[in-house]
Amino acid sequence: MANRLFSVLAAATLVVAAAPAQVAKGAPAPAIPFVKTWNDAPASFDDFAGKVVILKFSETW
Amino acid sequence: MSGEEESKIQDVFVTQLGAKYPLVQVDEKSIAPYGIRLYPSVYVIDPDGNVFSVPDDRMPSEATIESLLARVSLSPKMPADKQYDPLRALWKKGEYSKVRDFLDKAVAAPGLDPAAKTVFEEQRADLDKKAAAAEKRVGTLGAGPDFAAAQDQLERMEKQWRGMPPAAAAQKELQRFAADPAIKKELQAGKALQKVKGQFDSSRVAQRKKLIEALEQFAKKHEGTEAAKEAEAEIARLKAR
Repeated sequence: MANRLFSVLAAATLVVAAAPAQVAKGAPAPAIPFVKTWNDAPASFDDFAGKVVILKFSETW
Repeated sequence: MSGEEESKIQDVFVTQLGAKYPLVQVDEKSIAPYGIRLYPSVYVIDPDGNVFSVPDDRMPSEATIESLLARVSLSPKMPADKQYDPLRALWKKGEYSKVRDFLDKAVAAPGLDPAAKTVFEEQRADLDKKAAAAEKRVGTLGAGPDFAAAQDQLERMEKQWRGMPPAAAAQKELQRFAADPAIKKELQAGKALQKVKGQFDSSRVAQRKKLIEALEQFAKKHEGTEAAKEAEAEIARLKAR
């Protein structure tokens, strides 16, 4: 199963064939379970509570 | 998770790119609710945990991010027990000198429950740590080059940390800004640039052209300033759209 990485810097830009519905602005941000972390990243998504979070989803392809 | 995938992230992001920022590996299915169409995709989440911007938007400006950050409380985690509610409220208000006074008084109170004492002492240590980080941040902001953004942040820090060392440091930097002609010039240019940007809606083609013209005039008038450099970068971005 492919895994995805999110970070604050870019990796490659790849077009995804399907165009799924984007999460709505103003909606609660969906929680994401973390598989593995680096560089003192929080242990869980809940640890971001109360903070401003810039999520950048990148690929390792 | 495959070991190969994990190794790739380590090699590419951590080792080769020297990434110092937090990295998290997640499963493809778990991010489906975000509706990602492209990689990379950026989402901004506000302090209330709601989605503030999606990839279809323009990336929020530094000023917008700063305004979101202004709503962030430095409150550390503490037990849900009601006895901590007053302290929680002080943290939430961002009145750090009151947090300090509350904690000092609480720790010194006779007959304090050992568990509560531990919580208060940890919070006091945390406050000191945050104050030290804020003081360091003042130094970074004071070094520029974006003095306009720095001024806004220093004014906020001066208010938040009033009565504590970071506020004194911020105040000192603000006084230096006001007395330095070169910085004053930068501040005036920075404010003028925000005014120019606010006059046009760059999502409309006709207004985008006018904005480019206005930015070009601005860059010429304020040549040599950081704001002029920012205007030139904005012109390049607008022309590339």
